[in-house]
Amino acid sequence: MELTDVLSIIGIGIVAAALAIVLRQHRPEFAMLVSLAAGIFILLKVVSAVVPVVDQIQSILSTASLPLEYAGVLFKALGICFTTQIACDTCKDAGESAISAKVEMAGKIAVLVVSLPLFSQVLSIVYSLIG
Amino acid sequence: MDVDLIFRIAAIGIIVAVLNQVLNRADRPEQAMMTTLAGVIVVLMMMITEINNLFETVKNVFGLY
Repeated sequence: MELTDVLSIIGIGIVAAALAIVLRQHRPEFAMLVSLAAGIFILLKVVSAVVPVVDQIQSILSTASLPLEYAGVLFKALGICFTTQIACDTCKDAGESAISAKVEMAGKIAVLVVSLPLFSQVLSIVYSLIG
Repeated sequence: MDVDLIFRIAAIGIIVAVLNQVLNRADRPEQAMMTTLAGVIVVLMMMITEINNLFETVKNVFGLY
């Protein structure tokens, strides 16, 4: 992620917002689709920029001789958050805050399911410290 | 994914809006509705591949299987 990437994302965001405003007066459904397309484009750029960060954090964890599954859980939760956030925001822009809340709940449950094994590990450590 | 897709969607939206106005003026509200529906479906078909692309990228990058 360099300055040029950020500048192109800024340009795409502003242009897509202007197009969405023009379309919203006549066809609100197309305004939603334009904003969704812009969101997916920006998110694809951001996710491809995250790849070196993932590698870096994994190498830091391996030098600290921590198990890699911790980072795996972290990145899984981050991926779930990214994908649910875009669906959630699109539903909210379309005026369906109820659907948006359900999508958000599904994302929260998915993150919980992903991170629950880690929590049970913490609990087992606590048990071994107590007993 | 290309930036062109955003402009293409906006163009389809403008064309559908114009067609809608013309058909409504010509007293054809059902055909205007069908045009709108067709436009929405065309754009959704374009979006679905991109959504799939995004999901695959997120899966690969964050190790979600």
